Amino acid sequence: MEEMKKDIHTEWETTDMGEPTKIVGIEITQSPGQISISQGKSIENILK
Amino acid sequence: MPLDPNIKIEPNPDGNEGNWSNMYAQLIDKLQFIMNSIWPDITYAINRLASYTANLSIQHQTALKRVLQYLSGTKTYGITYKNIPGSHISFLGYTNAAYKNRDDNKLTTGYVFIAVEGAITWRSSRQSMTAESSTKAKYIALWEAGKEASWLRNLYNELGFTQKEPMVIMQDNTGMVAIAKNPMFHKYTKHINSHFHWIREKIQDGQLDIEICCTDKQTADALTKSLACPKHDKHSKAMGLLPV
Repeated sequence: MEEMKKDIHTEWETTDMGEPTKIVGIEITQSPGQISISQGKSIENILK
Repeated sequence: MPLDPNIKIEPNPDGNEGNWSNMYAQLIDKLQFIMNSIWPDITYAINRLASYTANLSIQHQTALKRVLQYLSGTKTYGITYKNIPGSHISFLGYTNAAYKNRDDNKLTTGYVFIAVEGAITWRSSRQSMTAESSTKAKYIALWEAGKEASWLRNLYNELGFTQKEPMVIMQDNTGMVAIAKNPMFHKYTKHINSHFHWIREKIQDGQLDIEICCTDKQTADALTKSLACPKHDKHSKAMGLLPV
């Protein structure tokens, strides 16, 4: 993983933002051995 | 549950009144986006309600409100994928087709693939052709799920998780399993379009296997019909939908 990051960084300008927490409105929570995806915010927006 | 199984949804008898439809369409649009991201359990309800967008009645609006209420109650839910150490990295499919749930005599195909205890891909859609028996409809559903499974298998292989074992799809119809596994000439299958028998080829190649599960454990039911509360909850749980 680290090597891949380095490779990408030498080719293009990148910033390492760490673990993803949100992507297209899906919230990502990670804990050892499991990943959860939820969408509470998007649902609240729809229900408004 | 998002749709009440006791209420039969019917086309609007009075024709289009055209007052609410814009808001309805907008809501359906937003819900279609979220159902494809993490809500396999509302997919059937939304697809069903979306088919009435052009000709609404109060009944459809009430049903949509119910879906919103359901979401408001489950907004803290999400799909949890759990890594079980030492287990073989693979996926399991469920497929089904349901009759009599629509007013146009077309059937609904539903399939869901589950990996590491969470749903990874699912679909609920109207079959384009009219199947005269539920066995044939389920065979068509199996064909659609089989295509998805093939794609998943390629994806897994590309990612480095080589799949040597056949991929397993669960079904609750013994007749259909017989058609798929046994290439014998059946009186009842001679009219089935030959391209659906692609499934047989996959089974003979050892890439695909169909197993029978009891109706209770048929998770794909949540994608083909509106279910009563305990069943719906059970299937959502099986798809990995839990409070996060």
